[in-house]
Amino acid sequence: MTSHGKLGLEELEKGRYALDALGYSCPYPEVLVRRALKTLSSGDVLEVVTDNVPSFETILSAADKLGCTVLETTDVDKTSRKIIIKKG
Amino acid sequence: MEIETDDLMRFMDRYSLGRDRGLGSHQFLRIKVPAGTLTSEQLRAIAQMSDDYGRGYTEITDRQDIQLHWIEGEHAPKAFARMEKLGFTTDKCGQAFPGARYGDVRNIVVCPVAGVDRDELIDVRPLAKKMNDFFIGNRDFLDMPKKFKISITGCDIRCTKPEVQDIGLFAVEHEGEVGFAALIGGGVGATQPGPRLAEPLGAFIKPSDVFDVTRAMAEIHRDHGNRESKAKARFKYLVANWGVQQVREKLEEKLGRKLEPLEVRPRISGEEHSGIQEQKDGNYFITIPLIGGILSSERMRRVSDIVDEFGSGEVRNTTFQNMILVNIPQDGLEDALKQLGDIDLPVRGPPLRWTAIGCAADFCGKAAEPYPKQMARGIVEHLERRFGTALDDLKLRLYVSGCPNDCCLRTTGDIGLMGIPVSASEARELYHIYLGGRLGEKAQLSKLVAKKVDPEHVRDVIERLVDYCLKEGFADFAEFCASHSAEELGSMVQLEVK
Repeated sequence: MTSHGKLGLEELEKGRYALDALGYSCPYPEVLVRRALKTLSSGDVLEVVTDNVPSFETILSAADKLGCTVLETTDVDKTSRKIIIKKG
Repeated sequence: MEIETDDLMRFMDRYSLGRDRGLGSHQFLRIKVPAGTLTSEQLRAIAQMSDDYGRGYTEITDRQDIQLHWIEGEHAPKAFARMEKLGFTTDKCGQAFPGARYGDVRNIVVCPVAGVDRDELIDVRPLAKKMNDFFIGNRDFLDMPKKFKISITGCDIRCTKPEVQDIGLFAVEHEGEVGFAALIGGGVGATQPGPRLAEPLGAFIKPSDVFDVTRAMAEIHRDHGNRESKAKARFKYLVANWGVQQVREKLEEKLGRKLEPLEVRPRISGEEHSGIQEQKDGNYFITIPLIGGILSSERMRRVSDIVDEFGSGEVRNTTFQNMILVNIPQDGLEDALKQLGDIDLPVRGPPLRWTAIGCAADFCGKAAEPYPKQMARGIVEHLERRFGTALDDLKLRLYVSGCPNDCCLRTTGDIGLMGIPVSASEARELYHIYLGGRLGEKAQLSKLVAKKVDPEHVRDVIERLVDYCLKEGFADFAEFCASHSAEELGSMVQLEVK
């Protein structure tokens, strides 16, 4: 998170962004994902990585409530998971 | 592209949600209540937060916190902002991470009648405040191998249970000077080396040294605690491996001075400030027995009104999941008690009403029905019906935990219950029965006397044990247990001792 109170989303390619939520406890990964999805345009894709186990579930639930589609969830390593969400 | 995080950055070091997996709740909010003390206004505000985010349900915990459930992540920033205005923070939920890290200092347990207790040696609130001010949100102590638990008391019944803390400080008088002794390395959960009572540090700690000693001990945990695995990451593992002597040498090295030797354990420990008692100033305090700590938001508001009308507008949470109204003048007692009775919070009954506790396994998802809080209440009410006033003079502590993590200390209760699921496919709980745990000069962990008892039979088993205890003339269930072997106790309940 940057010092001036904003978190940058890395643009991986046009319409595809990455959010690094590693090291954040609940509920911050979910809150960050909610805010990121609100910022994106319909059809954009967000890739979020988190190592906070409860957030694995709460992010999926939040995406669903926001009308977005979870395209994929994959374990990055033993401790963290990548969740790929398409904004509805 | 950027997202706004100003508010989140402000909260991150002091606020988080914990994980729930039961009763439809996914996240809980554990409000740290320093010294267990709240004003009526704070209590009303928490009741409103409970209505807004937590279905009007609250729990007092045995670390004097207040817990709300069903908290949605989307509401968390607003909830945190409201807490910030109230002056409260939360535990940091480091346990949700896979590795041995992100441990914080949990709510510092403080005698809830500090400053008003007639028999206390010293009012510990200023010392606790200094520690709280230092540790809360302090980034140097937010990434310890695992959580760190501190308690401090000046009372003579050591209600803060120093034997189960990482460091439990209790007041002593030594050569005419009031200071503290400490037990270190306690913890009754399943992590290595298993349930363990804290040992005497063997030092006299002057009040002016309490902060430095506690800080140094937390640093030892942070810097030398095991980070290989979560199972070995609690401070008790380090103390068990190093031994108290090595910990003390490290402590003195950090302090830059030797501490005066004093080998002492608390004579009495782990008791509750029950009932109605006169304070040192002639006013009274009333301890409301909550059995499991459950309090609806509506009752919470009414309690606020009562303590405003009859007391000083202040309540305090106890380590037995109860709530105390302080500073009630004698001429207001009768009306205050009547009003508490009117909202179904009667302040009467046997001591067990104040000393029966149960963990929140209904929410954490590690247990099935009947849940520990239900079990605790059911057993208390059953024993009251069965024995009536014969129970009034019996000291008996009933601790019910839903799993081996033992949040409610079943290993230290006179009677301890631990839930065991029947099977993965059947959502029903059985209970192991443990007897004879105690704190104080005869401190020992309880012994398992019966395995996987059907909840329907647990009440009958306990009834039979209490019957034996009373017939043998004991006024303290701990003494009854101490006078019998585990085999004898097992045969009394006519169950096979495994």
